[in-house]
Amino acid sequence: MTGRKSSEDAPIPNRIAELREKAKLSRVELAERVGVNSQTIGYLERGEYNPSLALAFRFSELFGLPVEKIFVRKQKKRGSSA
Amino acid sequence: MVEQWVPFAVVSFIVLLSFLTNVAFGSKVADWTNSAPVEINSPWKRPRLLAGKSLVALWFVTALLYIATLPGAIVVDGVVLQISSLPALLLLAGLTVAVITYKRSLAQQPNGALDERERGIRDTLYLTSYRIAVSIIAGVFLAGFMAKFIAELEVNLDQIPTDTALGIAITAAMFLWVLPSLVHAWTDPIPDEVSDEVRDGWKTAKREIKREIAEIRKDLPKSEKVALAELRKADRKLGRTRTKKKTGKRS
Repeated sequence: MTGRKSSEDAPIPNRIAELREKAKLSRVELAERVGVNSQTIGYLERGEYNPSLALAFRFSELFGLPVEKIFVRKQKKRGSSA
Repeated sequence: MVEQWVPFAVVSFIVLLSFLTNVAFGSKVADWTNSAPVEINSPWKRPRLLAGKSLVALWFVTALLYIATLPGAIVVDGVVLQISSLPALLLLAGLTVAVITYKRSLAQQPNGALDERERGIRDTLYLTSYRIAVSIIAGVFLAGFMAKFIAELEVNLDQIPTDTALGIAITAAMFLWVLPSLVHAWTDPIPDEVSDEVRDGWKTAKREIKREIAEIRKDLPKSEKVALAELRKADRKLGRTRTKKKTGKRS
């Protein structure tokens, strides 16, 4: 079910894969810890799914980092002209 | 009399068999009573002989075949047609079970057995199914209205034999029941029977190799930098001494 994506639904880049590797966790282990299916971890790591706020906070608690350090909102590049 | 019970017995057997193989035999089963998220992945993978769109197409072909072989639909010989519709019914029942169990029965799972992403997919499936069902019902009414009032055709539902009407009703009920799963099978783009880790194994390996190379490189420039810095220092010292010597000589 891949619907048409609006600009608001655009994937939010995240560091889940990097943090998972640092924590030496498999996708299945990470999925068990945050209470989702392991395939959802795959979707998250590939940036094909944006998690809910509750799930984002579960990642935050697990990795011991603030949410904004895990999920990075890309900032639009502004032109140099003032 | 016994013949009438055969289809029901076979359908019941297929449904029971499907339940046992997909739920009871899995190492991690869906807990239907527990509201907590439960992993429903089982290491045992159902062979994907029929996947996605082909499964949906086959279901519709079989449904049409069943309706076509219902007694009264083709008026040749009542007894022969009644027997000939049985394999179609059995095949339809089997395909219905196959569609229902598509991707771990995601479309039929309760909230507790799904995570938030899967719940989102399932809810979208039901919304799409509702729209399709409403469109079909509206289309049937519109066609009936046009046949009666515009084309002025005689539409007499009483002429349809009871067995045929019952068969159509069974197919329609089966269709409505299986519709979310049909939508799922039709629209699902990624076959996730293979786990992400297996599928992305080469990617993970590549990433790990890259990381190791980066670490090695990180170490290398350091030593190079240190060596260069020392050389520069030495050069500077040498330069200073040279200039001192030169200036000393001049002075």
